Amino acid sequence: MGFDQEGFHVHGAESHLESVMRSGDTASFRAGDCLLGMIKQGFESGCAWSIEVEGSGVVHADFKKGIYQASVRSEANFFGVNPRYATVAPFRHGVERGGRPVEELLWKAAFYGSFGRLLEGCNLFDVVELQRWPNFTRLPHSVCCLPLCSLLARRPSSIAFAHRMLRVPPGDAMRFYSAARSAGYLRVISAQPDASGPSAMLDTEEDPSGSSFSGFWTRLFGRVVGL
Amino acid sequence: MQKILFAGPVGAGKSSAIASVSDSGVVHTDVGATDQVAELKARTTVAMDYGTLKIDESLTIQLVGTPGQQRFSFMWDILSNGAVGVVLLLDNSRPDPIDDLAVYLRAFGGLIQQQGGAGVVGVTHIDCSSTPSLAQVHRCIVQMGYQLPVFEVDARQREDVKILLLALASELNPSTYRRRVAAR
Repeated sequence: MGFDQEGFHVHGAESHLESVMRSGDTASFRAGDCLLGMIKQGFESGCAWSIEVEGSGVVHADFKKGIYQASVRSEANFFGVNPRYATVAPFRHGVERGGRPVEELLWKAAFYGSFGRLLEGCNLFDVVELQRWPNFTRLPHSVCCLPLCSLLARRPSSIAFAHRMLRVPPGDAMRFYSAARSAGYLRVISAQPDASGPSAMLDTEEDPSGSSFSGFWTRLFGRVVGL
Repeated sequence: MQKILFAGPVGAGKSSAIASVSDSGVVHTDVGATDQVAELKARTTVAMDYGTLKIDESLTIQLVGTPGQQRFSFMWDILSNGAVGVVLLLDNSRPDPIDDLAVYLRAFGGLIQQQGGAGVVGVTHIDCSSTPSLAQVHRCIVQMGYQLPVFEVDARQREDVKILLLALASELNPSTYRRRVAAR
């Protein structure tokens, strides 16, 4: 299972990752299980909020202006936290000019909250099309995300197909799909009603180039990864 | 040797981008800037910048930076010959980055659309000017009939230029390749 193995800062009795694994809930996650739910509420409110995780940092988000500023030690620790350890308060000062686009918070929250699981409401066999590439120079990602984007931008496909075609590890594929759907980068062309969990994904031999072809371009990809 | 072009207006960061990833010392063909360019920078490329990226013992990629000034645009066609992909760098602090985008997409569109070709767009100096946004740049690209990756970039940072090259490699990968023009 493609769980993120980064060490997460512990708040309270256990880390969020450990609680997820202990609960056995490995198939999917809800927005409310991580900061994604909180951030979506922020969008609906149209207000300015401070979201603080003690010991990890704070994010000031002005959902009306569409910008945010963050002061966090580790984004993985902050956005991967169990939301019961986060506090939200109105931010009366407003975010200064020069903040980042607030939509980035949706990607970060879903990416780090996923732990390799699929967001509830997403189906591995949904046929989706990438509308616009995420700004990967400023967003967390794995290298597998780039070939996935290239494929989904060129031909609407399901994640189940794409991950097999490109030999992307299932956890990475589900994390990408959860983040891309949350942040609005994907358009669902055909939604599948039946839930299908990780059993629908076959274990793949990881290929960092995202392709089963050992051609010139996979060699270039591999070389650039090593830069 | 395969060739990847770095194109874009003066000061967009082409020379810096190549220098950030080149295995070899970058060869510059620049001279002291005159006319309006002198207000932007001290030196400007008149022919090309040249760097290399060694893949393995049998394969090296040429990284070629085109001159930014349009009066040297005759070099763009020459340098495009044999290139497999282009990295378009836009300077968001210029008066009209969207117009720049149109100029360079027209100039290099053939390379992007050719069989086995691809392009990616990097927007620099966003810290100096936040408009147009990446979403606006992408909309213009689609309106012009293309579907290209667009990223915010600091051309001096290897990690940013690395993303541009990874995206280009992904676009050129036969596993994902099927040339299509964005729906209008």
